[in-house]
Amino acid sequence: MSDGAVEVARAFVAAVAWGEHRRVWDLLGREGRRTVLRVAVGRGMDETLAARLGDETATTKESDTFLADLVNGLRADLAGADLDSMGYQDDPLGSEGGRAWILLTAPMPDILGGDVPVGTVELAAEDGTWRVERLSPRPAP
Amino acid sequence: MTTPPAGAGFETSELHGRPIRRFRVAVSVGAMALAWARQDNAAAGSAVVTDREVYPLGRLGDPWSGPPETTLACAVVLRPKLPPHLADAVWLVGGLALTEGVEAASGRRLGTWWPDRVVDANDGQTVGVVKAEVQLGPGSVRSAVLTMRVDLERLGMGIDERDNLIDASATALDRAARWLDQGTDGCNEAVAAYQRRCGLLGSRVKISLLPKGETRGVARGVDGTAQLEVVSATGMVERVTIDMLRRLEVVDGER
Repeated sequence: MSDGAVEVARAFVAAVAWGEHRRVWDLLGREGRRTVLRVAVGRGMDETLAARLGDETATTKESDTFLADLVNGLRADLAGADLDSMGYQDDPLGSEGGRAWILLTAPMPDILGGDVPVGTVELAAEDGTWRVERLSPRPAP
Repeated sequence: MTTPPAGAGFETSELHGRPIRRFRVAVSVGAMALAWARQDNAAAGSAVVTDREVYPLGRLGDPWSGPPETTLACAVVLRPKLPPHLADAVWLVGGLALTEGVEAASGRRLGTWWPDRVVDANDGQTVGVVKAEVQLGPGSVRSAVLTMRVDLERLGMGIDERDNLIDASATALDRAARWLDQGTDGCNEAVAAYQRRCGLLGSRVKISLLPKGETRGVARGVDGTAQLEVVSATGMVERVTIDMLRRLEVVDGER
Protein backbone atom coordinates (compact mmCIF):
# COMPACT_ATOMS: atom_id res chain seq x y z
CA MET A 1 0.00 0.00 0.00
CA SER A 2 2.96 2.30 0.58
CA ASP A 3 3.61 2.34 -3.18
CA GLY A 4 0.41 4.29 -3.40
CA ALA A 5 1.70 6.63 -0.71
CA VAL A 6 4.84 7.34 -2.74
CA GLU A 7 2.73 8.18 -5.77
CA VAL A 8 0.47 10.48 -3.77
CA ALA A 9 3.49 12.23 -2.26
CA ARG A 10 4.94 12.64 -5.72
CA ALA A 11 1.66 14.00 -7.06
CA PHE A 12 1.40 16.41 -4.13
CA VAL A 13 4.88 17.84 -4.66
CA ALA A 14 4.22 18.15 -8.39
CA ALA A 15 0.94 19.95 -7.72
CA VAL A 16 2.76 22.39 -5.42
CA ALA A 17 5.48 22.96 -8.02
CA TRP A 18 3.00 23.55 -10.87
CA GLY A 19 0.66 25.74 -8.85
CA GLU A 20 -2.27 23.32 -9.10
CA HIS A 21 -3.87 24.81 -6.04
CA ARG A 22 -7.11 22.84 -6.12
CA ARG A 23 -5.27 19.56 -6.60
CA VAL A 24 -3.10 20.41 -3.58
CA TRP A 25 -6.28 20.86 -1.53
CA ASP A 26 -7.79 17.65 -2.91
CA LEU A 27 -4.68 15.69 -1.92
CA LEU A 28 -4.69 17.06 1.63
CA GLY A 29 -6.41 14.85 4.15
CA ARG A 30 -8.85 15.97 6.82
CA GLU A 31 -6.17 16.53 9.41
CA GLY A 32 -3.92 18.27 6.90
CA ARG A 33 -6.70 20.69 6.00
CA ARG A 34 -7.45 21.37 9.66
CA THR A 35 -3.76 22.07 10.24
CA VAL A 36 -3.37 24.58 7.41
CA LEU A 37 -6.54 26.39 8.41
CA ARG A 38 -5.44 26.48 12.04
CA VAL A 39 -2.13 27.99 10.95
CA ALA A 40 -3.94 30.53 8.77
CA VAL A 41 -6.18 31.62 11.66
CA GLY A 42 -3.12 31.91 13.85
CA ARG A 43 -1.70 34.29 11.25
CA GLY A 44 -4.78 36.46 11.25
CA MET A 45 -7.34 34.85 8.95
CA ASP A 46 -10.94 35.47 9.96
CA GLU A 47 -12.30 32.39 11.70
CA THR A 48 -15.60 32.44 9.82
CA LEU A 49 -13.68 32.46 6.54
CA ALA A 50 -11.60 29.55 7.81
CA ALA A 51 -14.81 27.70 8.64
CA ARG A 52 -16.17 28.33 5.13
CA LEU A 53 -12.93 27.14 3.60
CA GLY A 54 -13.02 24.05 5.79
CA ASP A 55 -16.52 23.05 4.81
CA GLU A 56 -15.97 24.20 1.21
CA THR A 57 -18.67 26.84 1.22
CA ALA A 58 -16.26 29.71 0.56
CA THR A 59 -16.57 31.69 -2.65
CA THR A 60 -14.28 30.85 -5.56
CA LYS A 61 -12.36 34.07 -5.02
CA GLU A 62 -11.87 33.35 -1.31
CA SER A 63 -10.69 29.81 -1.92
CA ASP A 64 -8.45 30.84 -4.84
CA THR A 65 -6.75 33.45 -2.66
CA PHE A 66 -6.30 31.09 0.26
CA LEU A 67 -5.06 28.21 -1.85
CA ALA A 68 -2.62 30.42 -3.75
CA ASP A 69 -1.16 31.49 -0.41
CA LEU A 70 -1.03 27.84 0.66
CA VAL A 71 0.79 26.82 -2.51
CA ASN A 72 3.32 29.63 -2.14
CA GLY A 73 3.90 28.66 1.48
CA LEU A 74 4.51 25.04 0.50
CA ARG A 75 6.82 26.20 -2.29
CA ALA A 76 8.82 28.13 0.28
CA ASP A 77 9.13 24.93 2.33
CA LEU A 78 10.56 23.16 -0.73
CA ALA A 79 12.72 26.08 -1.87
CA GLY A 80 16.22 25.12 -2.83
CA ALA A 81 15.35 21.55 -3.77
CA ASP A 82 15.36 20.46 -7.40
CA LEU A 83 11.80 19.26 -7.64
CA ASP A 84 12.34 17.56 -11.00
CA SER A 85 15.02 15.19 -9.74
CA MET A 86 13.73 14.67 -6.23
CA GLY A 87 13.69 11.12 -4.89
CA TYR A 88 10.81 9.60 -2.91
CA GLN A 89 11.53 6.85 -0.41
CA ASP A 90 9.12 5.02 1.80
CA ASP A 91 10.51 5.46 5.31
CA PRO A 92 9.95 2.05 6.94
CA LEU A 93 10.67 3.45 10.40
CA GLY A 94 7.76 5.83 10.19
CA SER A 95 5.27 3.84 8.16
CA GLU A 96 2.74 1.73 10.03
CA GLY A 97 -0.87 0.72 9.67
CA GLY A 98 -2.79 3.56 8.12
CA ARG A 99 0.11 6.01 8.10
CA ALA A 100 3.12 6.47 5.83
CA TRP A 101 6.20 8.65 5.89
CA ILE A 102 7.78 9.43 2.55
CA LEU A 103 11.28 10.81 2.63
CA LEU A 104 12.10 13.42 -0.01
CA THR A 105 15.70 13.28 -1.16
CA ALA A 106 18.00 15.29 -3.38
CA PRO A 107 20.29 13.10 -5.50
CA MET A 108 23.97 13.19 -4.66
CA PRO A 109 26.78 10.88 -5.85
CA ASP A 110 27.65 8.06 -3.47
CA ILE A 111 31.17 9.40 -3.18
CA LEU A 112 29.69 12.51 -1.55
CA GLY A 113 27.57 10.52 0.84
CA GLY A 114 24.62 9.62 -1.31
CA ASP A 115 21.19 11.19 -1.50
CA VAL A 116 20.47 14.03 0.91
CA PRO A 117 17.12 14.19 2.72
CA VAL A 118 15.33 17.48 2.08
CA GLY A 119 11.93 16.84 3.61
CA THR A 120 9.21 14.47 4.59
CA VAL A 121 5.63 13.95 3.52
CA GLU A 122 3.40 12.37 6.12
CA LEU A 123 0.30 10.62 4.79
CA ALA A 124 -2.72 8.92 6.28
CA ALA A 125 -5.09 6.44 4.73
CA GLU A 126 -8.59 7.85 4.30
CA ASP A 127 -11.44 5.99 2.69
CA GLY A 128 -9.03 3.64 0.91
CA THR A 129 -6.70 6.28 -0.50
CA TRP A 130 -3.64 8.06 0.78
CA ARG A 131 -3.93 11.70 1.69
CA VAL A 132 -1.28 14.19 2.81
CA GLU A 133 -1.29 15.26 6.43
CA ARG A 134 1.92 17.24 6.57
CA LEU A 135 4.84 18.40 4.45
CA SER A 136 7.94 18.99 6.54
CA PRO A 137 10.96 20.68 5.00
CA ARG A 138 13.24 18.64 7.20
CA PRO A 139 13.43 14.85 7.45
CA ALA A 140 11.44 13.16 10.22
CA PRO A 141 13.46 12.43 13.39
CA MET B 1 26.24 71.53 -22.87
CA THR B 2 24.66 70.80 -26.25
CA THR B 3 27.67 70.78 -28.55
CA PRO B 4 30.27 68.06 -28.20
CA PRO B 5 33.74 69.41 -27.54
CA ALA B 6 36.52 68.66 -29.96
CA GLY B 7 37.99 65.24 -29.36
CA ALA B 8 34.86 64.01 -27.55
CA GLY B 9 35.31 60.64 -29.22
CA PHE B 10 32.14 60.57 -31.27
CA GLU B 11 30.65 62.02 -34.39
CA THR B 12 27.24 63.60 -34.47
CA SER B 13 25.17 63.20 -37.58
CA GLU B 14 21.61 62.78 -38.66
CA LEU B 15 19.82 59.84 -40.20
CA HIS B 16 16.55 60.91 -41.80
CA GLY B 17 16.25 63.75 -39.31
CA ARG B 18 17.22 61.67 -36.29
CA PRO B 19 20.25 62.92 -34.30
CA ILE B 20 22.82 60.14 -34.01
CA ARG B 21 26.05 59.95 -32.06
CA ARG B 22 28.47 57.42 -33.48
CA PHE B 23 31.30 56.06 -31.35
CA ARG B 24 34.13 53.89 -32.61
CA VAL B 25 34.35 52.33 -29.14
CA ALA B 26 32.10 52.84 -26.11
CA VAL B 27 31.48 51.23 -22.75
CA SER B 28 27.97 50.50 -24.02
CA VAL B 29 25.52 52.29 -26.23
CA GLY B 30 23.04 52.35 -23.35
CA ALA B 31 25.49 54.14 -21.05
CA MET B 32 26.28 56.71 -23.74
CA ALA B 33 22.62 57.31 -24.48
CA LEU B 34 21.81 57.67 -20.78
CA ALA B 35 24.54 60.26 -20.42
CA TRP B 36 23.29 62.11 -23.49
CA ALA B 37 19.73 62.09 -22.15
CA ARG B 38 20.73 63.26 -18.67
CA GLN B 39 23.52 65.68 -19.33
CA ASP B 40 22.67 67.12 -22.73
CA ASN B 41 18.90 66.70 -22.67
CA ALA B 42 18.84 64.56 -25.81
CA ALA B 43 15.55 64.78 -27.63
CA ALA B 44 13.24 61.80 -27.96
CA GLY B 45 14.41 59.65 -30.85
CA SER B 46 18.10 60.52 -30.47
CA ALA B 47 20.22 57.44 -31.07
CA VAL B 48 23.68 56.21 -30.16
CA VAL B 49 25.55 53.67 -32.27
CA THR B 50 28.97 52.16 -31.77
CA ASP B 51 31.25 49.82 -33.69
CA ARG B 52 32.43 48.12 -30.55
CA GLU B 53 31.06 47.92 -27.01
CA VAL B 54 33.37 47.18 -24.11
CA TYR B 55 30.62 45.89 -21.80
CA PRO B 56 27.57 44.94 -23.82
CA LEU B 57 25.36 43.85 -20.96
CA GLY B 58 21.67 43.09 -21.15
CA ARG B 59 19.05 42.44 -18.51
CA LEU B 60 20.55 41.34 -15.19
CA GLY B 61 24.01 41.94 -16.60
CA ASP B 62 23.66 39.12 -19.11
CA PRO B 63 26.57 39.64 -21.55
CA TRP B 64 25.89 39.85 -25.25
CA SER B 65 27.88 37.05 -26.83
CA GLY B 66 27.95 38.15 -30.45
CA PRO B 67 31.26 39.44 -31.85
CA PRO B 68 31.30 43.21 -32.41
CA GLU B 69 32.01 42.78 -36.14
CA THR B 70 28.60 41.17 -36.65
CA THR B 71 26.59 43.02 -34.01
CA LEU B 72 24.37 46.02 -34.38
CA ALA B 73 24.30 47.93 -31.10
CA CYS B 74 22.04 50.93 -30.92
CA ALA B 75 20.37 52.81 -28.08
CA VAL B 76 17.49 55.24 -28.51
CA VAL B 77 16.33 57.90 -26.09
CA LEU B 78 12.61 57.99 -25.38
CA ARG B 79 10.62 60.55 -23.44
CA PRO B 80 7.24 58.87 -22.97
CA LYS B 81 4.45 60.45 -20.98
CA LEU B 82 4.09 57.49 -18.67
CA PRO B 83 3.21 57.12 -15.00
CA PRO B 84 5.78 55.08 -13.06
CA HIS B 85 3.58 51.99 -12.67
CA LEU B 86 3.49 51.59 -16.48
CA ALA B 87 7.23 52.10 -16.96
CA ASP B 88 7.87 48.47 -17.87
CA ALA B 89 5.74 48.92 -20.99
CA VAL B 90 8.93 50.34 -22.53
CA TRP B 91 10.33 46.80 -22.66
CA LEU B 92 7.34 45.60 -24.66
CA VAL B 93 7.39 48.55 -27.06
CA GLY B 94 11.12 48.05 -27.54
CA GLY B 95 10.83 44.34 -28.22
CA LEU B 96 7.97 44.89 -30.62
CA ALA B 97 9.75 47.69 -32.47
CA LEU B 98 12.98 45.73 -32.83
CA THR B 99 11.03 42.74 -34.11
CA GLU B 100 9.17 44.81 -36.69
CA GLY B 101 12.21 46.82 -37.73
CA VAL B 102 14.52 43.85 -38.17
CA GLU B 103 11.80 41.92 -39.94
CA ALA B 104 11.29 44.78 -42.39
CA ALA B 105 15.02 45.12 -43.06
CA SER B 106 15.91 41.43 -43.21
CA GLY B 107 12.81 39.83 -44.69
CA ARG B 108 12.97 37.14 -41.99
CA ARG B 109 9.89 36.14 -39.98
CA LEU B 110 10.52 37.06 -36.36
CA GLY B 111 8.69 37.15 -33.06
CA THR B 112 9.00 38.58 -29.59
CA TRP B 113 9.91 36.53 -26.50
CA TRP B 114 9.04 38.03 -23.12
CA PRO B 115 10.61 40.05 -21.76
CA ASP B 116 13.62 41.05 -23.81
CA ARG B 117 14.23 38.85 -26.82
CA VAL B 118 13.59 38.86 -30.52
CA VAL B 119 13.58 35.37 -31.98
CA ASP B 120 13.45 33.68 -35.34
CA ALA B 121 9.82 32.59 -35.71
CA ASN B 122 10.90 29.33 -37.37
CA ASP B 123 13.48 27.95 -34.97
CA GLY B 124 13.11 30.12 -31.86
CA GLN B 125 16.77 31.18 -31.91
CA THR B 126 17.54 34.58 -30.45
CA VAL B 127 18.48 37.15 -33.07
CA GLY B 128 18.27 40.23 -30.89
CA VAL B 129 17.72 41.56 -27.40
CA VAL B 130 16.43 44.79 -25.91
CA LYS B 131 17.09 46.43 -22.58
CA ALA B 132 15.01 49.27 -21.18
CA GLU B 133 16.45 51.63 -18.60
CA VAL B 134 13.92 54.04 -17.21
CA GLN B 135 14.67 57.24 -15.36
CA LEU B 136 11.87 58.40 -13.11
CA GLY B 137 10.96 61.96 -12.28
CA PRO B 138 8.39 63.20 -9.79
CA GLY B 139 5.27 61.18 -10.55
CA SER B 140 6.21 60.21 -14.08
CA VAL B 141 8.85 58.74 -16.33
CA ARG B 142 11.42 61.39 -17.17
CA SER B 143 13.23 59.45 -19.86
CA ALA B 144 13.96 55.94 -21.02
CA VAL B 145 16.82 54.49 -22.99
CA LEU B 146 16.10 51.47 -25.11
CA THR B 147 19.17 49.47 -26.07
CA MET B 148 18.88 47.13 -29.01
CA ARG B 149 21.44 44.52 -30.04
CA VAL B 150 21.10 42.38 -33.14
CA ASP B 151 23.08 39.40 -34.37
CA LEU B 152 23.62 40.33 -38.01
CA GLU B 153 25.31 37.04 -38.87
CA ARG B 154 22.31 35.02 -37.73
CA LEU B 155 20.11 37.18 -39.92
CA GLY B 156 22.39 36.77 -42.92
CA MET B 157 23.04 40.50 -43.03
CA GLY B 158 26.30 42.33 -43.55
CA ILE B 159 27.76 45.10 -41.46
CA ASP B 160 27.14 47.47 -44.36
CA GLU B 161 23.43 47.09 -43.74
CA ARG B 162 23.65 48.53 -40.25
CA ASP B 163 22.28 51.94 -41.11
CA ASN B 164 19.25 50.45 -42.84
CA LEU B 165 18.60 48.32 -39.80
CA ILE B 166 19.04 51.26 -37.42
CA ASP B 167 16.65 53.33 -39.49
CA ALA B 168 14.04 50.57 -39.72
CA SER B 169 14.21 49.71 -36.00
CA ALA B 170 14.26 53.30 -34.78
CA THR B 171 11.37 54.19 -37.08
CA ALA B 172 9.39 51.23 -35.77
CA LEU B 173 10.24 52.39 -32.26
CA ASP B 174 9.02 55.93 -32.97
CA ARG B 175 5.74 54.45 -34.17
CA ALA B 176 5.31 52.08 -31.24
CA ALA B 177 6.40 54.69 -28.71
CA ARG B 178 3.36 56.81 -29.56
CA TRP B 179 1.32 54.28 -27.62
CA LEU B 180 3.32 55.17 -24.52
CA ASP B 181 2.01 58.73 -24.70
CA GLN B 182 -1.59 57.56 -24.59
CA GLY B 183 -1.73 56.35 -21.01
CA THR B 184 -3.36 53.08 -20.06
CA ASP B 185 -5.26 52.72 -23.33
CA GLY B 186 -2.09 53.16 -25.33
CA CYS B 187 -0.22 50.65 -23.18
CA ASN B 188 -3.04 48.16 -23.65
CA GLU B 189 -2.73 48.55 -27.41
CA ALA B 190 1.01 48.05 -27.17
CA VAL B 191 0.47 44.94 -25.07
CA ALA B 192 -2.05 43.52 -27.54
CA ALA B 193 0.38 44.06 -30.41
CA TYR B 194 3.20 42.51 -28.41
CA GLN B 195 1.13 39.46 -27.50
CA ARG B 196 0.23 38.84 -31.13
CA ARG B 197 3.96 38.49 -31.87
CA CYS B 198 5.02 36.66 -28.68
CA GLY B 199 6.15 33.09 -29.30
CA LEU B 200 6.34 32.33 -25.59
CA LEU B 201 2.61 32.47 -24.96
CA GLY B 202 0.99 29.08 -24.63
CA SER B 203 4.26 27.44 -23.56
CA ARG B 204 4.74 25.56 -20.30
CA VAL B 205 7.36 27.46 -18.37
CA LYS B 206 9.49 27.11 -15.28
CA ILE B 207 10.51 30.47 -13.91
CA SER B 208 13.22 31.10 -11.32
CA LEU B 209 12.42 34.21 -9.35
CA LEU B 210 14.39 36.96 -7.68
CA PRO B 211 15.34 37.07 -4.87
CA LYS B 212 14.41 33.36 -4.57
CA GLY B 213 11.70 30.90 -5.41
CA GLU B 214 10.19 29.35 -8.46
CA THR B 215 6.89 29.23 -10.26
CA ARG B 216 5.59 27.02 -13.04
CA GLY B 217 2.63 26.94 -15.36
CA VAL B 218 1.52 27.99 -18.81
CA ALA B 219 2.46 31.47 -20.01
CA ARG B 220 -0.99 32.81 -20.78
CA GLY B 221 -0.41 36.46 -21.57
CA VAL B 222 1.24 39.76 -20.79
CA ASP B 223 -0.71 42.45 -18.98
CA GLY B 224 -0.66 46.23 -19.23
CA THR B 225 2.22 46.56 -16.79
CA ALA B 226 4.33 44.06 -18.78
CA GLN B 227 3.84 41.30 -16.22
CA LEU B 228 3.77 37.74 -17.54
CA GLU B 229 0.63 35.85 -16.50
CA VAL B 230 1.36 32.25 -15.62
CA VAL B 231 -1.62 29.98 -15.08
CA SER B 232 -1.74 26.48 -13.64
CA ALA B 233 -3.85 23.56 -14.79
CA THR B 234 -6.30 24.33 -11.97
CA GLY B 235 -6.55 28.00 -12.85
CA MET B 236 -4.20 29.59 -10.30
CA VAL B 237 -2.86 32.77 -11.88
CA GLU B 238 0.48 34.30 -10.97
CA ARG B 239 1.96 37.45 -12.36
CA VAL B 240 5.70 37.76 -12.82
CA THR B 241 7.23 41.19 -13.25
CA ILE B 242 10.36 41.72 -15.31
CA ASP B 243 12.24 42.63 -12.12
CA MET B 244 11.28 39.30 -10.51
CA LEU B 245 12.56 37.19 -13.40
CA ARG B 246 15.85 35.42 -12.84
CA ARG B 247 15.55 32.75 -15.51
CA LEU B 248 12.80 31.39 -17.73
CA GLU B 249 12.81 27.90 -19.20
CA VAL B 250 10.28 26.34 -21.54
CA VAL B 251 9.39 22.85 -20.37
CA ASP B 252 8.23 20.00 -22.57
CA GLY B 253 5.54 17.51 -21.71
CA GLU B 254 2.04 17.49 -20.30
CA ARG B 255 1.00 18.96 -16.98
